[in-house]
Amino acid sequence: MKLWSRLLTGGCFGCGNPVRAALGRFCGDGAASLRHRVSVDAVLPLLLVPALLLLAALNLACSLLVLVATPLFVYYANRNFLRFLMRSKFFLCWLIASAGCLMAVFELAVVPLLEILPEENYVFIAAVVGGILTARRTVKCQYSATSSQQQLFDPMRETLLDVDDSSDQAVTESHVCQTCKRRFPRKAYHCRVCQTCVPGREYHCKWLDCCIGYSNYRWYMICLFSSAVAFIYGSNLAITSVCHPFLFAFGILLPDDCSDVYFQYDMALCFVSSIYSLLIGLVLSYYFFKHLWLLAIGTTWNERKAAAAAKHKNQTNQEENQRFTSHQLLL
Amino acid sequence: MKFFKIIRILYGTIQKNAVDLLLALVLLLLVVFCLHPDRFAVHYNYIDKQSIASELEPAYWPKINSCKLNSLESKKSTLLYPNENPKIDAQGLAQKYNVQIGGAWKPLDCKPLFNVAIILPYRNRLKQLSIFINYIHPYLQLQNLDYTIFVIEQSKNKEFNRGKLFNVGFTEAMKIRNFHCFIFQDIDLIPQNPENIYTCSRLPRHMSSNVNTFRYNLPYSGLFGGAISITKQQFQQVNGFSNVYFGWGGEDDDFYSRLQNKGYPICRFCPDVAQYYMLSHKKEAPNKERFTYLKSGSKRYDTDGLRNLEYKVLDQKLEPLYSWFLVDI
Repeated sequence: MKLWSRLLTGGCFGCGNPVRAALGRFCGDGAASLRHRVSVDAVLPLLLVPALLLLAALNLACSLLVLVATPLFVYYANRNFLRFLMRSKFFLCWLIASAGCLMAVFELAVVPLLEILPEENYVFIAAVVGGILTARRTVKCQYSATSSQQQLFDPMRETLLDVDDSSDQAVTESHVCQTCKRRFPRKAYHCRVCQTCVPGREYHCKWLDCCIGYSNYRWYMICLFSSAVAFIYGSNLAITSVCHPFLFAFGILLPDDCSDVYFQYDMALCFVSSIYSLLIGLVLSYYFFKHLWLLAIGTTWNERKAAAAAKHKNQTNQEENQRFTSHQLLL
Repeated sequence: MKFFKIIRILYGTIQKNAVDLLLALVLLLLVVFCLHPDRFAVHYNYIDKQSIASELEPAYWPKINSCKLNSLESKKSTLLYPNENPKIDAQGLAQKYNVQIGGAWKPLDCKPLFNVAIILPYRNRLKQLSIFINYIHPYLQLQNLDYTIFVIEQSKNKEFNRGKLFNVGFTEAMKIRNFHCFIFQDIDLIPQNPENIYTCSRLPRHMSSNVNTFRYNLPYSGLFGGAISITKQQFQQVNGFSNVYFGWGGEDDDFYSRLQNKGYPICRFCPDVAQYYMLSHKKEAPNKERFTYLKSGSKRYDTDGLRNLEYKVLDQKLEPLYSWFLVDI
């Protein structure tokens, strides 16, 4: 029960006016912040994603090249180049551009084929809207040090507090972060990007440009789930519209022959978009299930990573020690 | 004065929240655009399974020794698929299925209720033709029909004209025998459910309302292409198909408007009965002139069709599994 209580208590309510939230301030705020600080890494994906999609739809070779090279490029960017650009909007913009392009392809090229039932579309649109709203909520509910009651660590005050209620659990379970010099509950970890400690930190999600912790964990999970549904379902709707489908089982259609999509450019565009959408959906569902698993074994992504890193460090230390001793022995 | 005050307050609020209002408007338009039912496939009225038998139009009065509709009694609802690599041994197959030369068959142990001509327009798709023919004979025999299969091939010199080939098929079939019911069907469409009985109902029927390439949905309610069934009388009354649609598309919509013009509503069987599997092939580029023809279609209902049909039979042959006509149109 305790594991699941994290999900249930993680929500935050009353974040702003619901009507305004429903109006999709997600996009509005994104646009506003871009206006203030237009940086190359933020604008780049807005041009790059549509260009890549249009390029990939030319022929099979282009599709293969783009669909293999793009994830590699994004992975590389994630690992290396953007480590130095801490607060980059690159990934957020990439996500917005991708979702926007895929939605546009779906509405302007797949739906006019008249092969999708209104009900199927309702499910899809519900998943899309759910994904957008929960993503918005995830960003809004992220932990921020200024709004919380955490205070700067003051040694004098700390000792006083210790004297006052040394038996208090809250104090014994808290710790002081070395970097930001604040007192936090024990399960809080420091985020270099947010420059604060985040309670129950999983990781810093570059795609939403916010830290995932207790405060927005629930919204993040719903967002992962519904956007994975939207991407995969939309992909299936599109690919079965342009390819030759067959009835798989339980009324699910799957494509079995896509050999003629490249004869028409719009068909190729739908096809490539649906493959891209499927890739995104699979990555999202991988994250969703990994989080569910971590939840089940009662840990967080951050803790696991830290533990793995510590283990690795221990191992290397031991190895070095061994090498050192053997070296000495040889000598 | 109060009125002006209200206006001013309204104006003030609008001015204050202009961005929000604009955003709301754009969002509303987007939602309407995304959910508008006209942009999607349709649900349609259909004849459900139980009433199929009563909706059919027999060619003869039922007697004691009349055939039963075998397929309607079977309860199984598994979908059938064609063998995509059929044997080409037509002679052997004709013997196996007891098909008379020219692709005719009728049940011997009972008196059939229906006689049906199945007209297939054809050009240059030998593999699909053999897949279809191999599949359709046992399928039709399951339904105890008296049927003959006609393959009408168009000669090479012009673009494919599906509608005109149907008219030719109708005329040639009528020369052979006074058929009561006609099925006009593309050879790449494979009926998947044996309950989809290949004969005429009282109203002209759109048989292929659930095709896999349309994700087993009906794109629009006026679609009357693919496979249709219509009685001889009805077909003659609407003056057949139009002869002017060379290239892909248009002739089916034109035919639908012909039926509407003569006051024939169309019918369809229930979705799980009317399931079709389309053999995969390249999509043809549609004929761009079809819309201009469609617009002026109503002027040609009586002049363009069976009555002004001109063609030349270049060759004809009774193949073991079908009657073949090569025509110049």
